[in-house]
Amino acid sequence: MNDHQFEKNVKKQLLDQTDEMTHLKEDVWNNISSELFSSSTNRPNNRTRKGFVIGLTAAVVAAILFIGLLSEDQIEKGQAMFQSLRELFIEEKKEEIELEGQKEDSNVRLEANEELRYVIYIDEDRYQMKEGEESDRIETIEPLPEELPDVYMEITRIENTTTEEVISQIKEAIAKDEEMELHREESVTTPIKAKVVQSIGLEYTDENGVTGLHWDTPTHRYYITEADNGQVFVIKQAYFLEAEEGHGARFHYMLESFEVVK
Amino acid sequence: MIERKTAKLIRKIKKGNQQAFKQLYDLYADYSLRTAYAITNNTSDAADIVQETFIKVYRNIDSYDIEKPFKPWFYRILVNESNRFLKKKSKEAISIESEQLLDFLNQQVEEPIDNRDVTSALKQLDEKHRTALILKYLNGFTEKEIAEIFELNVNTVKSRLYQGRQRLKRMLGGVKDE
Repeated sequence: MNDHQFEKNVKKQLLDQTDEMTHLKEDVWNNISSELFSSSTNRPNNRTRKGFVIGLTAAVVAAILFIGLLSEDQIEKGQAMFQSLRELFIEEKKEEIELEGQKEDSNVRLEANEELRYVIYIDEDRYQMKEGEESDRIETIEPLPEELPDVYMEITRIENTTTEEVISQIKEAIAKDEEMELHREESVTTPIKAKVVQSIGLEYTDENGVTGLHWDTPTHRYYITEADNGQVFVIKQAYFLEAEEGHGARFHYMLESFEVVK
Repeated sequence: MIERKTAKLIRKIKKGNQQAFKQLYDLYADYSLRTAYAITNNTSDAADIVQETFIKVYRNIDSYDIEKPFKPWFYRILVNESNRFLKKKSKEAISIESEQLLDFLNQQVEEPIDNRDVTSALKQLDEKHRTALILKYLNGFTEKEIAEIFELNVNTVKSRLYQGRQRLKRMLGGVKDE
């Protein structure tokens, strides 16, 4: 018997002779389960929930156009165009929105970003726009309790790319994210025409021993626009399941007003 | 594929997801039961070892580095648990009556081995050779992975595998005594 045959034989015999053991699988699990889970407080850890600030991948961030890279000429030209953008749209208006079946009046204010060449109306009573170097973020005016997952809508422009490339980078970032998993991919026409990638927080077992998604499970919706001259906008909405009908719906209405201006 | 699935499950377990732990158990239980049995040649001990191993995995999941492969980490616990059981057993065996002990030892030496009975032959090897061979042939671990499990260098593992294989071959009639 050569080495190969011998090793093959040993492997086969080991599998055959240990096969009976696999029948004990359920019994062993029952013992483990009663040892570990007879009390709902017996968890591997009792850490407080972390924030869920997970942005786009470094690759995506690296692709973002920085304002600082613009020449003085471009900035001057931009300022002129900024004026014209403001002139093109009404500064403030009232809008009727529907939340959980209830109609509500909302005061919205124009936000125009000349560098990224877009406008959006935001609910000025509840949210504020924070411009960043890499992206703009719409956040609640009143800070939310620390234990809640993040709530914001972030607008990023990526250049020299395609929609597919951006989608694949977002999915890659979700796959690497320890807290989130890919939930859904779809094409939508409202609130804007875009591809949507949605991720959702991992299921966990709460203090009552209930496993699954819970009220505070975070959800991230990425709207990825069609590429235009190699330019793609990503609008990321971050909130949690219980806030879907609240912040989620308000983000939806605000996003309806999003417009890229050429 | 299985490593990716495992990583996802572990992230869930770290958050306290009990169902994810059951899924992890379902993924690894069969081979851990087989391995523990191959090491101990005792059904009840093997079941206890696997039970203790999974309990330790759950309770120590926070110390597991998700960037590293799970299987070697898991099997290190399983092997340590098996060794602990074997040591406990050998202490118990020493405490039995001397006559019974002699009978027991004689039985071990004189018991004829069917040339296909690999588990009985493995039982006659010492623990370090036996476990290395089981990890290689039953679990398909590479020499490098076995070295990680034992926390030894690869050459020591190669040597153990070679010596263990030669002894096993002799017992199973593959080669004649040198």
